[in-house]
Amino acid sequence: MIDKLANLDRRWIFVFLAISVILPLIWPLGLPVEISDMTRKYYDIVEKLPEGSYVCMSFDYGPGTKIECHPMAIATLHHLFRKKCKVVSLSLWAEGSMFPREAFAEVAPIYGAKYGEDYLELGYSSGGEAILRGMGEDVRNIFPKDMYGRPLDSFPMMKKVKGWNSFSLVCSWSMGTPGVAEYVRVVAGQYNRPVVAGTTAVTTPEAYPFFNAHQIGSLLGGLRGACEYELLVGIKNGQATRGIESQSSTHFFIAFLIILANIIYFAKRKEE
Amino acid sequence: MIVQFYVYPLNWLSDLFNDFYNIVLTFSFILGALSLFDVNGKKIVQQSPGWGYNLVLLISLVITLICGLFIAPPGHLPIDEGTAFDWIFKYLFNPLSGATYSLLAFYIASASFRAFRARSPEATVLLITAFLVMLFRVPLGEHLWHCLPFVGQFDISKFIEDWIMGGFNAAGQRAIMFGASVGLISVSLKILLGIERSYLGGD
Amino acid sequence: MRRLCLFLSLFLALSMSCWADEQTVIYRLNYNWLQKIDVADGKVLAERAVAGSENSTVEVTEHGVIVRQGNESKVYSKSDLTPIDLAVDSEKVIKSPLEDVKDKFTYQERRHWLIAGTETKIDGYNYWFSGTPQQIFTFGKNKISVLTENNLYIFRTFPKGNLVRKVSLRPIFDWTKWNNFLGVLIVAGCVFTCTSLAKKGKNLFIREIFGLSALDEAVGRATEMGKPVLFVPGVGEVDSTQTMAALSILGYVSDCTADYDIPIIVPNCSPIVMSMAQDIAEHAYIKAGRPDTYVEDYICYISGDQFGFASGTCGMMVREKPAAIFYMGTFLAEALILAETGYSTGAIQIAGTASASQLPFFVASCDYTLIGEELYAASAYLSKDPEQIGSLKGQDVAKAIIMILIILGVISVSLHWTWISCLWTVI
Repeated sequence: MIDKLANLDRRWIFVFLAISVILPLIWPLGLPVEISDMTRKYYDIVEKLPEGSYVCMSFDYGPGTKIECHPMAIATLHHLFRKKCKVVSLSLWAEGSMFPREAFAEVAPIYGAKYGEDYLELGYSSGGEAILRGMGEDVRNIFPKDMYGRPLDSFPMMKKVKGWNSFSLVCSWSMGTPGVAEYVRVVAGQYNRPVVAGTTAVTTPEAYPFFNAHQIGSLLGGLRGACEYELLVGIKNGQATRGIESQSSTHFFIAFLIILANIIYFAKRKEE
Repeated sequence: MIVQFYVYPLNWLSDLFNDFYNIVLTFSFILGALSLFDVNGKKIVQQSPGWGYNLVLLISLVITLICGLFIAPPGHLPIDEGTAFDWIFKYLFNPLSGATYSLLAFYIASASFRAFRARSPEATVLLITAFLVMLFRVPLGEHLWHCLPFVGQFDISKFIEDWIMGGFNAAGQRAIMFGASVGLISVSLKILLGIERSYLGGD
Repeated sequence: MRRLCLFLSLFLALSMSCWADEQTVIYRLNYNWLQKIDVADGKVLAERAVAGSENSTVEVTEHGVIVRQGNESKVYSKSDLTPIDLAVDSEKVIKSPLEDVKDKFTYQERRHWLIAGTETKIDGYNYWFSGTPQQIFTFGKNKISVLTENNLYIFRTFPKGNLVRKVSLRPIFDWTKWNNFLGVLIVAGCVFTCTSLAKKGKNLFIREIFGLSALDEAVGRATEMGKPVLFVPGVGEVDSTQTMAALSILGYVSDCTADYDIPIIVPNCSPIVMSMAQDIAEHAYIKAGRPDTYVEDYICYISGDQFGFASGTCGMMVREKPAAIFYMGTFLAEALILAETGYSTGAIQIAGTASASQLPFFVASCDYTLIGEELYAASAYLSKDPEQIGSLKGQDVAKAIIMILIILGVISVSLHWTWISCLWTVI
């Protein structure tokens, strides 16, 4: 029995894992989610923004990690539009440049926000940290036009936007490089602007030192962070909230696998 | 680039070199595309095993390129909403990337089963930490923890966030960051001064 | 040493010199007006009233400035107004304030103002916070005024004459980055010193790095099995130092594979890295006298997208069945996909990356892992070149200095020694 388990075909693991992911999606448990201090801090930072503040949102993730980062962006947009803030989006990742459009299309109509007056898409520009530095004094140095080719100065909301100092808050949702570290170095470090971040669960440990050093105001970590923030903002049945229960069952399954593996290991060691 | 970081009148050099880099990078994509056509084209011509997949690659490359550059309704850019490029991005690229990323979940499970053994005291500590973080950072784990007598009153998620993630993890990440950063400075200096030349391919 | 002295003296000379700098818009309260002043090259271009008149009142609150005229009032929030600089006579200098932001997320700010010189043409300054006029001082030479938190400060000047002009001077060297520069000097100094010691023949000990020692073993295994070697230089661009370090290791590995007459496969995520890898590998095989073993098509560009790259590389692994796989460079989420697929082919796997988030996956799936700086040490370790080994020792010395500084920093902050904790101010 021990030998059979030790040589278990990994495809059986894949099958059971798939079941553990799918079942909670079909039959949700409806468990309560405790809100962490970090998410509350993130919420408070956005809540304290004065009405009409300018916020920059950076969509630095790809389709693979959309499930973790996009709900954060959607929830933050809900929060910002509720406070009548003006949002300018950009992306340091080529794939990420299409996501602001999806996000704005989902959220803006609910609050009557209009393109060019309440939000704007700058699009993508390659260069990572160099882009952020170039935008420092004037956004138009890097993005003279918006994503659709129209001059920035033709939009009413851009009259008050110059460089990073024009923004009351900068949000970075990233899955790697370029991402949070670049915003910390340039926007928070050089221009001293408040930065908050949302990262995938894998890259959240990397962002913790920045949070502890107060270089970023707060951090949303992975699907859990997105779920907590959705609940705080009041989004019912959000994408992250629906996915968190699958994550619960999957984590328990992996923990069971680890326990099983260790039982097999110690049993085999005892035999020897 | 080092000097411009510290010297105000030379800050414009950063933008200049960045423009140079972007231009070179853009032209290098032509090089990449040519490589793709060359490698895959040879396999199609020679009808190597699996040449059908190479053909699919080239066809999808050409179609995406044409859609992204030329196909657009009047008055719209090719990347606008509702265009063919947008359709390819939403209904082909997004699901394919998502599917590939989701493979990670399966691979993590099989890697955990294979590799996470309590072989030594350090490995045991790692295991215990992994259990705590995995089980009690999800709603099901928190709910089960609160059902436990006595210990259930203790806020486990705060302990994980403040002590494990914010304490031990952050310290370890910082240590790796420091080491890697010092190594990065050293390698950069070696490359700039020509001490390190092996990446050039010559003697 | 001479060069170092020359560099330092040049730097000091430059840093002392100044030039007139352009100034941006200033908002200033002038009696009952909220005034906007455009200044360029030390000259006032235009002054115009934003709001207010002789009959208006201006009130400063914690949220901004309220200008009232009759029954109408308008609020100019903090984000509309730039922090005001003190307007002075052209002969006198006021340096820009050094901002020490305590907690910018609750909009509490604390500023130190540094005033230089004597202002003979300025009578004094008043400032307001929360609507109450307060006088700081009249004149001062290098006087520092520490303002309190959680208030917006608007300064009003009382010029003796009508002349109001602003010149802002700043030195060529950005003094706000002084500790950053000092850090670079320390690290560079350590590296140069140890490199010179190594060149003089001093024996420097380097501990064994198992992952690098196993490189030969891995290539040897591939030779015995008659299978190719796969080298993945990561998903980073050529501007990433990790990629450069990976290419250095590729040079060594391709020398080995060329000597043993086995092909090397290098899938790439960047076209520039691809062309560099082709150069490195081709040169290695030509040097070993085996140009026919080198297959240019094996060193190809897969995709710029990380998952496209991972899929293509996994396909190569499954088809070509390499006996040894090396993962060196920047890796993102695709690391585990590559490593697990490589494991399933039965190859020996050696990974090296400074991407901390992917290290656990490599450690779990690979036989050997180079963690962080071990990747950067690889070139020196493998070449055994005294200069490079010296630079490696220099790295270690710099790390020891950082450790000492960390301990000092912890002690100074714990004991509230603010005079020394400025060394650790994040720039």
